[in-house]
Amino acid sequence: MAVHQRDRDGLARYAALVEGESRRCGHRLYEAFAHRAWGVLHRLEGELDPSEARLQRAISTFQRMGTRWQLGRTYAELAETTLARPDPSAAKVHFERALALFEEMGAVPNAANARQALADLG
Amino acid sequence: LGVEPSEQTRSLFAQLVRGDRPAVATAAPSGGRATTEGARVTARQAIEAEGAVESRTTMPIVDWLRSGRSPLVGRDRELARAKTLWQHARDGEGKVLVISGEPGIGKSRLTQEVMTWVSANGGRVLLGECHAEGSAPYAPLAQILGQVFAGDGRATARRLHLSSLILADAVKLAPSLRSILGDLPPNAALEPESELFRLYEAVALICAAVSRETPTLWVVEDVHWADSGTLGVVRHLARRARPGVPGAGLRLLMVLTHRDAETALAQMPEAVLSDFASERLAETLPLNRLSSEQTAELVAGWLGPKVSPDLVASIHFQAEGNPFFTEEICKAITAEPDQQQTSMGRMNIPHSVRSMVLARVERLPKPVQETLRWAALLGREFDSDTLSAVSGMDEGALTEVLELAGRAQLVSEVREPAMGGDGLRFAFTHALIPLALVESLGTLRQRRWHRRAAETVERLRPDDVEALAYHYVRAADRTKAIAYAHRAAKKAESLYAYDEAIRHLDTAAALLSSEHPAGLRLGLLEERADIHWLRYDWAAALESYRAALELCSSSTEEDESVRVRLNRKMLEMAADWSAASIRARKGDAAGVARPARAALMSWHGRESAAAALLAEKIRVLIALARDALFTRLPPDWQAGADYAWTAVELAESSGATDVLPVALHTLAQAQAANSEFRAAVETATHQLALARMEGDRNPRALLNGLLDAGVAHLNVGEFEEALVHLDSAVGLSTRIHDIAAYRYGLTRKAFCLLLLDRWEPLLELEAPLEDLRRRFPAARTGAVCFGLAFCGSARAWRGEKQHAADLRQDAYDIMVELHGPPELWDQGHHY
Repeated sequence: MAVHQRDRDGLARYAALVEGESRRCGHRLYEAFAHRAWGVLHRLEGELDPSEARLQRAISTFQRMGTRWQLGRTYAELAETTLARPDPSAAKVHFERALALFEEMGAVPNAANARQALADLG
Repeated sequence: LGVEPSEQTRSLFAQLVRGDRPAVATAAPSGGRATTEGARVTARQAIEAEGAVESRTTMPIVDWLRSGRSPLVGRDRELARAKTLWQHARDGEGKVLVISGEPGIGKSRLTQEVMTWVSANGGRVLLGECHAEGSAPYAPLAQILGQVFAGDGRATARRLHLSSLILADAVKLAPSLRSILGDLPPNAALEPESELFRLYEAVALICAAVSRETPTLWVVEDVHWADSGTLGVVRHLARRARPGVPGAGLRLLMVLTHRDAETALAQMPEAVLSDFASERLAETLPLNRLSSEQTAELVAGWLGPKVSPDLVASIHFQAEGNPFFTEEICKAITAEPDQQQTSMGRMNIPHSVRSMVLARVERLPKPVQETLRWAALLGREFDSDTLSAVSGMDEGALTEVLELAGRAQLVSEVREPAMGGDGLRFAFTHALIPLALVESLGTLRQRRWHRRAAETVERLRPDDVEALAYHYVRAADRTKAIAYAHRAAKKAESLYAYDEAIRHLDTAAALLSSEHPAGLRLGLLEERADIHWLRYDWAAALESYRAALELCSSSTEEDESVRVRLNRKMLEMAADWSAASIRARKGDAAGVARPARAALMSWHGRESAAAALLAEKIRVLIALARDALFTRLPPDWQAGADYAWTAVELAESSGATDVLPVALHTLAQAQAANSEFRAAVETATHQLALARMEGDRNPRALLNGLLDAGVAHLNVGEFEEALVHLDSAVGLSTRIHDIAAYRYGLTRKAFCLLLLDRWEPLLELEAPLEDLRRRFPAARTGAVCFGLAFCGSARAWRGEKQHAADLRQDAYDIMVELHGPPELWDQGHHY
C-alpha cells in the first residue's frame, strides 16, 4: 500500500521490517516485496542506482517464482526509475515488458496504465 | 372435480366421517336428516357393541374420509398459497412454509390437505412428527428416512446413487434403518462440529437425491416440540433449498407446523424461526380463528345444512372460532339423543375441550376407556405391543379396542412401514386427547401407571432410554430416573443434539438429593459444562465448571485430580473463547483464565504433579501453552513455546501417542507465533509423518497434519509445497465430509494462489466459498470472508470492478455479522 501510495514514511518503516522478518524465515516472496519497496523509496529519495539494483533483485525473485503480476508491477517501477535518469528508451523497454505481462494476466487497469505511460513516451 | 358438492353429497360425507353407515343408499331431496337420524342410532349401536367391528379393509373410502375429518373451512387463501409455493418448489425454488397457530386451530388439517393435493399432483410426501414426551433425538427425521428407504432400502440407495458414507450417517440418525440397509462401516471420527455438519449434509444429500427424482413435500409436525438436532437439520435444509445455491436443485417444499405461545413443555425453536426470518428462508402462514360464517360452514359439514342459526351462534360463542373445539361440540351434539338442534342450552354439552374429549371417551365401554388411558400415558404415539403388555390386554381384545377407538376418531393407525419390532403404531388423532386422558388420572394413579409403563418398556425396549427416563421421572423413582436421564443425555450428546443432552442432565441433577454422593452431582455438572463448551456457550460452560469446582474442596488426592482436570478444561475453554474473539472482546476470556492458570501453575510446580497421571500432566502443559499464546494479554509467546516443547518431549518419551499430535500442533502454533517459521515447518512435517503412519485408521489426524503442514509451508513462502498439502487436505475433507477442515483448507489455498498470481484457479474457488457461506451459519464459516476478499482482489486487478465490489461487500458483511463494526476489528481483519 505504501508503494502504491508513494508513502515515504510508510516505505521507510515497513520495508526494513518486512526484509528482516522475511530473511529470518527465508520467505523469498516477501523478501522480493521488500526489495521492491526499497527500490521505490530510493527513487523517491533520488537514489537511482540503489533503486535499480533493488528492483532488479525483486525482478529476479519474481521471475524464479513465476509471479507474473508482481513481475509486471516491478518492471513498471523499474521503468519509472530509468525514466528518472533520464533514459526513455530503457524505460520504454521496461514498460513494454510490463504491458505484455499485464495483458497476459488480464490485469486490465495495470495494462491501461502501462499503455498510457508508453503513449506519453511517444 | 371442480364442482361444489350437492346437499346429499355433503350429508353423506358427514355421515361417513362420523363413522355412521348410511341406512339407505337413496338420494331423497330432504333425505339428509332422516338418513342421519337412522344412521346415528346405527352408529351408537356399533360403537357400544363390543365385537361388532367393521374390518378396516372393507371401507377404504371411509378411512380416507375419516383421515380428512371435516371439510377444510376458512383456509382457502392459505391453501392457495401453499399450492403456489409447491409450484415454485417443483421449479427448483425450494422454500420453508411455517403454518402456525394456537392448539386446535387446524394446522394439521390444512397440512393434510396440502399433502393430499401434492400426492394427487405427482409429488412425493414425507412426514415426520415431533412429540412432547420422551423421544429420541432426530425422531421425526428417522420417520422420514424410514419412508425414503421403505421396502428394498438397498435398491433405493443404489437408485439414488447414495454412497456408503451418506448411508452410514443416515443409520446414525435412524438406527432402525440398519435392518433395511444392513451393516455399514462407521464413518471416520471428526471434530464434533465437523461430524455434526456431516450428519446434516448426509440428510441434505439424501433429500437432494429424492427431490431430483420427484419433487418432494417434507412435513414436520409440531416443530415446537422438535429437538435441537431436528431443528438443525431443518435449518440446514432450508439454506440448501434456497434458489441460487450452487448444486442445490432441491425441488423441495418443507412445511412445518408450529404452535404459538407453547407451554414449558415445548422445546425452543425460536432461534431457528428467527434465523428463517432474518435469512428470508421461510414464509409463515398464521392461522386465525374462524369467523361466524366459517363456523356455520364447518357446523353444516357435521350436522347437516339445515342446522339452526341459533345453534351455530351458540357453538361459535362457546368455541370462539377454534375449529377443534367446534368439531368436538358437533360430535357431542350428534351423540345427544332426540335433540332439536336449535340451541345448546337444553343439551348436556361440556364447556371445555378437556371435558368434551373425556365425554367422548366415556361413551365407550370401560375396557376401552382404560386402555386408552394407558395409551395416553405412553404418549401421543404408541405401539400395540407395548400397549398390550402394559394394559395386560391380549392381542385380539386390543385389536377390537383400537378399532372402536378408531371409529370414534380418537386414534388412527400410523401408516409407516414397520422397521424392527413387530408392533403396529397408532397415534391419537389430536395432541389434546392424550393430555386430557392423562390429566383425568389422579396423581397417585399416574405414578403407579408410569412405573408399570417404565417396567414394561424396560423389558421390551431396554435401549429406549428417553422413554424410560420420561416414565421413571413421573413414577417418582429417583434412582432409575437419574440413571436413565444420564444415559439419555449421553445418547443425545453422541448425536450432537446438545439441547436435549443438557435437558436430560438437568433432569438428572434436579432429582439428586443430599443422600446422593457429591461425585455424582459433580460429574453431571462437568458433563453439562463440556456440552456447553461444544456449543460455544462460554458463559454457561463456565458457570457449570465453577459449580463443579465448589463440590471438590477437600484435600484428598481424588479431589485434587478433579480440581486439576476442571481447571485445565476452563483454561482450554478460555483459549478457545479468546481465539474466537476479536481483541476488543478478549478480556472476558482472560478474566476466566486467571484463577485457572494460577491453580494449574501452582500444581505444576509441586511434587504431587510428578506423580500425577501422565496424560493429564501433558494436557495441562498443552493448556498452559495455549493460554500463553491465545488468552494472556499481552500474549507470552516464549512461555507458550516452552510449555509446548515440554509437552512434546513428555509425550514422545512416554509414548503417549493419543496426545502427541495435539502437543505437536500446539508447538507449531507457538513457533509460528514466535516467528520461528522454519522450526514450525519441521514440527508440522514431523506431525504429518506420524499421521501418515496411522493412515486410514485415523483420517482426522491425517487431515490435521496436512492442514498444519500446508499452513507452515505457506508461512515461509513455500507455496508449491503448501499447495500439495492443502490440495490433499481439501480432497480428504471432501471425502469424509469434514466441513470445517474443507473451509479452512479452501481459504488457505486461496491465499496461496493469490500470492502466486494464479488468478484463474483462485477464482475457481469463488463458487465453493459462496456455497459454504450460503449453506452454513456465519459463526461457523467466518474464515470464508478472507477467501471471498482474496477473490475480490483478483477481480479488481482484472478490472472487474462491480464483481470485486460485490465480493468485498460479502466479506465485509460476514465480518460485521461476526465481530461488529470495523472499529472493533483486529488489525489483521482489515486486510
